[in-house]
Amino acid sequence: MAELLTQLGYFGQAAGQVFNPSTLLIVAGAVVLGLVVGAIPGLTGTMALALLINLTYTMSTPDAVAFLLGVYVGGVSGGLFSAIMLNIPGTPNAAATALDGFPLAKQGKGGQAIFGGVFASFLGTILSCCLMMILTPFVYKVALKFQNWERFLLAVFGIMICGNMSVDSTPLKGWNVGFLGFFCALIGVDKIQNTPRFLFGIKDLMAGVTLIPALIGMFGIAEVLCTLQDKDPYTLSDSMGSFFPTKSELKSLLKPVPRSALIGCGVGAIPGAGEDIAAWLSYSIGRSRSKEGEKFSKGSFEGLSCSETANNACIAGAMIPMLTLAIPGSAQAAMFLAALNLHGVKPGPLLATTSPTFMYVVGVTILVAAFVMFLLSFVVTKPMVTILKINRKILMPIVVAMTVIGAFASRQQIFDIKLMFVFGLIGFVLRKRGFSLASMTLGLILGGDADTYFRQALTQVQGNLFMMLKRPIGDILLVVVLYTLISGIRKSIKGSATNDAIAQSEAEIETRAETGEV
Amino acid sequence: MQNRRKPNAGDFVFGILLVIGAIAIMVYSVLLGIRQQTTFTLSAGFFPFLVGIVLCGTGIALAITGVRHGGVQEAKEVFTGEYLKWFFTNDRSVRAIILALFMYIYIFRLIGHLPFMEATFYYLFGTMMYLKAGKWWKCLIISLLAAAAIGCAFRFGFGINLPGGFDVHLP
Repeated sequence: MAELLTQLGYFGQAAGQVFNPSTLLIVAGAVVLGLVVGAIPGLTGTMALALLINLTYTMSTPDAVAFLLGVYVGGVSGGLFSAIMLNIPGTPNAAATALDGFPLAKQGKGGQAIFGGVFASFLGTILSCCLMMILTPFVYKVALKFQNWERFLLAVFGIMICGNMSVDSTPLKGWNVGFLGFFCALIGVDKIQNTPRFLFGIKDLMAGVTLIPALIGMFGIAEVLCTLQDKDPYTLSDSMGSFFPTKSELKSLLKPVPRSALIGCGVGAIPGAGEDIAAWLSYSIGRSRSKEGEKFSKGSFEGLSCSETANNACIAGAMIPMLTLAIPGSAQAAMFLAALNLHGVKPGPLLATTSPTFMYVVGVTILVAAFVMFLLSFVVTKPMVTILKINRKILMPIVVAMTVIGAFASRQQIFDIKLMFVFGLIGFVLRKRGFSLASMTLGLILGGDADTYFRQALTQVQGNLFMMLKRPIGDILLVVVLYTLISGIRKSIKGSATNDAIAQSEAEIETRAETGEV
Repeated sequence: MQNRRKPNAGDFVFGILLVIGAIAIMVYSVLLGIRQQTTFTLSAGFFPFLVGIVLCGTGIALAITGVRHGGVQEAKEVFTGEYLKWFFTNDRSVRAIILALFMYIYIFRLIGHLPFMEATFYYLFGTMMYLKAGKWWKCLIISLLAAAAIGCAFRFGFGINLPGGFDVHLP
């Protein structure tokens, strides 16, 4: 009971910090920015976070958290506008939304579909955020028992499970780039013995691969190159119609919400899994469990709700491992983690003791952002249609100029801009070859810490690896890592059923986009 | 029409490259350990050595997966004059290469040598003209306005220093 009261006290303090006019204004502005960026095909929420991190340098930490979470929530939700109106998902996580949203728009129910999507996104965010605030204190208690060896194994587990959950590739490909990211994180002077490693004769690499320029390159430059490779112009769907769904449509919308929110939150908590997997998984389960499963992909409000609830529920889910173990649950959460590091906040088990209110600040901010998103989505819908008409051949080069400032801003080094370009090319090639950039990101983020934890653990046992097998929690984690490895190898050999299903659905969207069919 | 996509060849070649890279990492790590004159397991080279082993293993596995799905045959088809000519001359590849080249010139040759807004204007105008984003005067106006807007917004709006500085050298 005392513990519950303490946690409620922290919640109250956090609410006090967030509920002030300037923070609320920042959240509102950030949500609108996120909605707009998320809606424009080719600009993803991850890219938005990467580009906008530099705007938070001059902000206080609570304001920076409010700004970034606002962009995050807005960015994930914004994808539904273009998915419904254009049949082009603004962000990858809205791909499943297009399956039902676009047919609804073609039937003249675009407005109702947008309301349905926004409402489902709102409910998904709220429910999973409540779950996050309830569960996180318990995870902190477990995480505090982890020492260097367990933390190292968790980092390895993060890479393994991220590879296993990759949408576009087999686990093997995910692991390849994940460990490549690990390697990139080892470049530079090592933290324990100050020994320079893998500098390739470039003195600027002494400080290592700077995280933010590398991430901006992989998600900004690579995205611009991928988008501008295609010539295809897109056309807007017919008129939107009314915003308000009928009673039966509302019932269909609400039916899958609790299940989809749970799926979204759970998938979000898996390192690197991300919003797109949550949406597809929820959609697939929703279709098989629904009494009207045959209506899915033909304009079903239930299908729309399945994907939109889950992808937004992922936001709070991804915060659980990020706040407790410093392992981001998605690429966007990875960006958020990088930004927190810039502001001197070090997520991990110790955060529960050093800054016990921080988790609730994050939770309350997400709740506020969800409410703001719900209200402002209807205000921005009409202008959004105009924004969607912006020529990408004009927009994308401007994005490149912004990535240059983003890469330069943190350390004021021209070298960082060059590094960003190199990682942009690497990201472009990897994307084209079907490798998961989320795995690479996770590797880059976790590699340095994994090295430190591993070597500190080894030093504690005088370099005797077998001594580390005497730690029960470590042994459990080791078994989990080995199980993930074996299941991943099986999946790689057989080819993942989930991946095939997703590929089939995405092919369906592409065919529709080409033919304009419903 | 012959299928131009060769995913298994890509996996096979990437796997081989990864193995070569991983071996280089392992050799470098061992030499690093020797130079430090300490127990190898406690040296700065031990962890990268383990990462090298893992990369080598996953690289071999990827190459084998590629081979099992016909990657060797596909690779033979890829490394022919006809395929390479198609690869480097098709619309999508040419566009990606030229756009990357524009970025290279902007980042390596203009940024740091010219004030930010000037460098950005040249890049935007060149890229928009190449992409045929509009008539030349429209591209010119948009590039000028965008370069000025980005420069001013970041410098004065958000207080961020610009690479190459803010001032523009007027002729």
